[in-house]
Amino acid sequence: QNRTVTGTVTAKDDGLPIPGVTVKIKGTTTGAQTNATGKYTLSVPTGSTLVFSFIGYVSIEKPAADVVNVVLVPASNQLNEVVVTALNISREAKTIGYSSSTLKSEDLTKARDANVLNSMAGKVAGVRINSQSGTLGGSTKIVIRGVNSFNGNSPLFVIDGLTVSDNTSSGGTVANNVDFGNRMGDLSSDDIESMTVLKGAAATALYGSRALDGAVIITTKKGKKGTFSVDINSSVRFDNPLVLPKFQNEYAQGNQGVYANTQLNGWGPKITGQSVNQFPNFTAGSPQTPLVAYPDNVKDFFQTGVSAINNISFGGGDEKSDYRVSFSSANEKGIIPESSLDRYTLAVNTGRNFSDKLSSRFSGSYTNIVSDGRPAQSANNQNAIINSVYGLPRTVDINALKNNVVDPVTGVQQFLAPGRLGNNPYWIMDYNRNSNSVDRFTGTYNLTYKPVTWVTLSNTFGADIYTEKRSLILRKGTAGYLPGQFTKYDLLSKQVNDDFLATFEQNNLVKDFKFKLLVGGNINQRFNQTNQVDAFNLTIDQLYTYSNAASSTATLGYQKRRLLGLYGDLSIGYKDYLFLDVTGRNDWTSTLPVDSRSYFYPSVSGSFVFSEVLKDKGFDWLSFGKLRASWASVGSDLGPYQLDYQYSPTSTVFLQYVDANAIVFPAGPIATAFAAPRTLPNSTLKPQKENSYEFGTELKFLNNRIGLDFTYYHSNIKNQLISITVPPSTGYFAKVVNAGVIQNSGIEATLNLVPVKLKDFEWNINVNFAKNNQKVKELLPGLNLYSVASGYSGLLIQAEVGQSLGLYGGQFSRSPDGQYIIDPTSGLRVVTQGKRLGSIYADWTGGLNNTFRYKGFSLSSLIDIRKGGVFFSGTVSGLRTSGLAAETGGDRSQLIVDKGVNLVNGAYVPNTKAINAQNYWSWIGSTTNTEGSVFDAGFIKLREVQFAYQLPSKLFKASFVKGIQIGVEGRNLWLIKSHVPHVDPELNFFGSGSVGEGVEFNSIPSTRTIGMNLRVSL
Amino acid sequence: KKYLDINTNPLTATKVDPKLLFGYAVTAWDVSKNSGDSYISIGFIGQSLSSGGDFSQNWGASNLYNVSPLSIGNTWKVYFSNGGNNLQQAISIAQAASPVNNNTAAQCKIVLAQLMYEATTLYGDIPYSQAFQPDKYPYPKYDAQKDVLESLLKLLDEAIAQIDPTSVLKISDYDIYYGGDMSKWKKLANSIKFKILMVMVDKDPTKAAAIGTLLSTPDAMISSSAETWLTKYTTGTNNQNPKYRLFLGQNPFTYASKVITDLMVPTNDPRLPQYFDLPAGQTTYIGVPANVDADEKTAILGSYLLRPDAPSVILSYQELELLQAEAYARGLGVGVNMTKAEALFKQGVTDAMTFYQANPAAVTAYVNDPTKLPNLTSLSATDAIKQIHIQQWVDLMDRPLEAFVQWKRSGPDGSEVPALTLPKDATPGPLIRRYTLSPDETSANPNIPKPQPTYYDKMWFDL
Repeated sequence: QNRTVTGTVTAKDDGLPIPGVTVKIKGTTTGAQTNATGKYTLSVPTGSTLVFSFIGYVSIEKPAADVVNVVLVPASNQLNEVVVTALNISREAKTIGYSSSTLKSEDLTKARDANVLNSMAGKVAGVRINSQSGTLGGSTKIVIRGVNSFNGNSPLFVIDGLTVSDNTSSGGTVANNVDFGNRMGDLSSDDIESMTVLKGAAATALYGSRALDGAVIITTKKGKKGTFSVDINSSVRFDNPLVLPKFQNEYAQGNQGVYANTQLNGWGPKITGQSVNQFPNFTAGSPQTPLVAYPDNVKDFFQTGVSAINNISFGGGDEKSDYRVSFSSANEKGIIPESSLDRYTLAVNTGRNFSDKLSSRFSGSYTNIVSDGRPAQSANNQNAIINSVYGLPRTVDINALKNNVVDPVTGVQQFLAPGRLGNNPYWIMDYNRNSNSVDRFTGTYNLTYKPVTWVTLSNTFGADIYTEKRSLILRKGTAGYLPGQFTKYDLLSKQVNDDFLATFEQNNLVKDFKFKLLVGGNINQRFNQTNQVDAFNLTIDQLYTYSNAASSTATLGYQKRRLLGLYGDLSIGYKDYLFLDVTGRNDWTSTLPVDSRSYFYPSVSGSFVFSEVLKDKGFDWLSFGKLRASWASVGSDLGPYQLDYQYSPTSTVFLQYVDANAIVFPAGPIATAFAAPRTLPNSTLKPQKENSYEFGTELKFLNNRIGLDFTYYHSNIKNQLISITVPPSTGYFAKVVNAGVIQNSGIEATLNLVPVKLKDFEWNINVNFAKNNQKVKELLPGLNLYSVASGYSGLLIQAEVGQSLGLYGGQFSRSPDGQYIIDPTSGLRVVTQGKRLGSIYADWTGGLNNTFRYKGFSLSSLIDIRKGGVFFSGTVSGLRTSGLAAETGGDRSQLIVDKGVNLVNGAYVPNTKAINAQNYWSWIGSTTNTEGSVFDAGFIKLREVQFAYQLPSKLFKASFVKGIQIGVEGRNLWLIKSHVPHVDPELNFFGSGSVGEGVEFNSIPSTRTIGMNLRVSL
Repeated sequence: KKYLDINTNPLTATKVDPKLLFGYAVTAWDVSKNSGDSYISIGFIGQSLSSGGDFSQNWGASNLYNVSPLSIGNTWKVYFSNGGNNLQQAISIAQAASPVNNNTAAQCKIVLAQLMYEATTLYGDIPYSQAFQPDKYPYPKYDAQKDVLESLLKLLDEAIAQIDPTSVLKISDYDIYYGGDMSKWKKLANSIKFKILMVMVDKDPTKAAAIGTLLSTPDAMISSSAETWLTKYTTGTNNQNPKYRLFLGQNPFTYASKVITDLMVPTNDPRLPQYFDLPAGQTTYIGVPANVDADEKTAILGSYLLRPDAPSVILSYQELELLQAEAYARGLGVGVNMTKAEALFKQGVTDAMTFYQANPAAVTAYVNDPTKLPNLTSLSATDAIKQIHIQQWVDLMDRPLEAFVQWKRSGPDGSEVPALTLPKDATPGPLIRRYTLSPDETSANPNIPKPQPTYYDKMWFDL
């Protein structure tokens, strides 16, 4: 006898009805789905049990009754969490034999950052996020479980099954190092449903070579089944510099206490209001002026950055179709005057079930970015803005500079000092603005066909195409570039990817066993083209067209590579607690020699959910327990065109102190020139090989009030495909070889605590911890040290056998008992070049996340911690050598006797030589003494604070409004502890694409952000 | 499989005409020589130029013997990679061609010999016999300077023997020096040989015989100012002399060295207004010692030398004349002949002044006034040789690399001409005598000399 059961299914998280929930009679295939208002009706035999299930929520069973209302709990808090793994395969978390971390939409849109990668900082154990500079739209570096290769680090990013580009502008000590951002910063965080970080090789084995550095799998939001809904998320945020240097305000420009207006420093006399010849260019014709200090002249240069980040999305769906359309905008003004960025994204995600067997889904987005005023950062470039601002003598009024940029009569720049010394920072920002614009399309189309219930055939085709235009301008009359010049880049990047997958699932072949076999194929093509034109010597001022330049040179770049892959994955599940996965993939790459371009790599992983076995055996305090283990071997290729000996057309030669474009061909009768490669190619290369294993456990206690996730991993990457420096006396700078072994091993732990859980109040603590030990196990025989990145004046990032990658350079010599050795004549510390100054990586990193919820209120904070490693600051070096840093001030009549010893006739005697502050600090800060500007890189940062209030739904129950949340959010609020004076220890100069890090030269200061947020659901 | 066969770069070539490599090599080399890496750094350490101390913070601390590792490394890379290796590649291509392109190989060898000569006189012992062979010798050994110089003499002889004046196969349009005139290349090869021998002869007196042989047929060497080996620059954008590019006609922050004004000012050398510019209101050329502060009265490096179309001299006729004068005055491979020496000396100084476009009337008056330019025949042998060395060094003021070698070879330690003193605030101890080894070499080549030479270690030829 049947009875009719009705009811409503609502969600625990927002209390709203859930459409599309499957309601089944247990043990049968009979069932129904909830409608748009979450209601269902079903005719059931008496005594039946109903099973309610919906993706992303915990299934629930209820005995049938006349009315059965159900509240579903989101799976993220629960055991049956669904994880998106490689190739967008959704799997129950407990069946996975490797560690993965998932960030949900709310983790990314809470205190959201314009660059979504920054929102990951401190939230995932083993994932390190570094914003590279305070440049508006600047780049962010992501490192998963330590750096695996000598020649770069780039996790694979996948959006809805499409591998996409995270290209970035190169950093380094080049004359005009501009941070143009990284392409993952194009994403709008409001469109992201989840981001899963796959850390180890077993997790990424199906992606093969490209995921050597880990993978980030992004799933975009879909329309929810039900009525048409609208979500609005709107923020306004304000930025200011997180750290500005502390300056002395007592001494004017000059030398050894004597005033000189030819100097941009602080080594002159004490400022006492004496009348001097100030810099004549901006003192309105009255050069004799009293000397006054302007303590805020640097602070006043920066303005409050303002940004508005808005998103509106429309969505809906029914049994057959769903859709979501979203429009996002970010309109930002930076802390540097004249810097701005506007980003607009239109995203669409729509699916359709044509029949029970055939379904399809399209998701895609178009992004447009226009940014202006990206400042140059550099070691010694007169166009570098920070150099120009921080280096101002303390006696210069920034407003005088602002009001006197150009001589009104002659139209010539008002240089700071006579003799074209130093560009006016306002000249740089007003006229020498670097800009870029990006147009990017990404789109994927998936077609899925299920001929029978246990077979799924699916094809995902996608493309990621963008063009970027960059423009770097140096106006006529810029110190260092007097004739004026400009450079324009046109970049085109196209990536096309297709994955075909066949899945066979059998749960009834053998009792208690579940089988799933997946076989697939992958075709990937990546293509890049660049067109760079440098134009020099402009005739008409501020006219940036090629025909206005006396000469211009064009440089083309072109790269195309292809990859074919075949793969398979067999999953076996025994009962509900034992799971095994075996995968294999073979890749064929276009970039390796024909004989070695095919390579195979396997992986095995397994998990054992022992809590299932212990169930009903008196272990009530254990809510969940799982052990996991995996092993994988992964190969990888290299960039294209590195095998043949090829001569390249060369349009310029290098001229020290000018730049690479100083002399341009045709030079006299030499119309065109070709050069032999600087990197010696190697036609016998083999794929790089990574072997790794990991163990882990997930434990939950006391009804999930305590959760612990622990992983140990170990990986060895051998046959590194590296461009190793060779003695230039061979005729080459470098050679590509298979050499070297890097080992990374470490632990990751995440602890979740719910210390208080009451009806209206809940306190959640999440602690994550990661420790990675990197060790270079092997280089070439006979070679123990080699450089992976170089800075300035002997500063190098090097690999040394037995060590992690480290910072090398000039070190202060020490006596056997550890005291500085001081030259008795000069009174200055003795320096030895080429010494290791420390690891560029942290000893460990951690995050502490606290969340309090009381009724509709929530308050959360995230503290980000880094311990250890070293950091070099070129900014500090400059501030000290120029006598501007606070510590160089004070009473300079007091001579300094540096604490240390003199080596006299083989014996160490205490140093007594007294020297003045200028000689002392000029030496300490000199770039020759790398150690003088090297600091402990550890820090504690208050990364995020968010306060939100969800208005009670009864307030607008009768209206069309479904929910309103208001919030206050802050990012990078407080550098609680740092060992580095004057700058943020997180700055990095090498750029997000380089292995090099921990070095900064006049980087744009990072920003502190405070904002307000309003979310409305309609 | 064809789908994957796309690993050929469409923008590069696997085969090129050797002249294209020659063109790049000679340009990269000459630009480096006139750049902040070589010209500025060596000018300061050799005291041909003065930084003006703290007055200008533009040029780092090379005058304090603390030469930037970048300058040391970049200069090395030009000799061995950007310059040297491209010449080597050009030689290989020319010699592997069918028919063999002998003249091109010879032209490249002659330039390569000069590059290696410069490298060894700046760095001392360098890789030569195992250089440029990365597959065979990934870590080239360092050859003793004597062996390098001997090898270069052989390389030049090989080039001379290879020259085939009848063959049309040669670098001609890209030959920025002699337009493919192989007879001039032969003369150049002999001139470089002569110069190398003059560097070697103090340490190895047996070289006197070879000097004598070359002196017996002076016309086999560069024999007129028109044959001077130089790189021409133009006023065309981005083709100007690199020194012009460094300063762009503005205040060069580089000053007259007191060492040179002490030699030139007392005799009112006609080259003074060419070498230096007087600051406004000044009438005398005031130089400053190394690392001493310049002031608004100090003479600055002359805009004449920094003009856009100033040529870059590699080996000049006047240089050769003065070297020949020295050989006759010292009796190197010939009998001492002061008359011959005096004639060559006077002509050499005249040609030097004329080259730098000094006022012709002032030049004539100068060289004929024994109170300014002494007559060598009236001097003791020692004084005569010293006068020659002074003129040699003054002639090389705008060529710091050559001036530095000239100073080292002009006499045993302590008796060099001119006498230099330790720069103000420099590390107490001996004077600088070389670049230290390139950091790119020391970090990558286990076969570097151990211990590594310090900046004050003398090299083989330097007594």
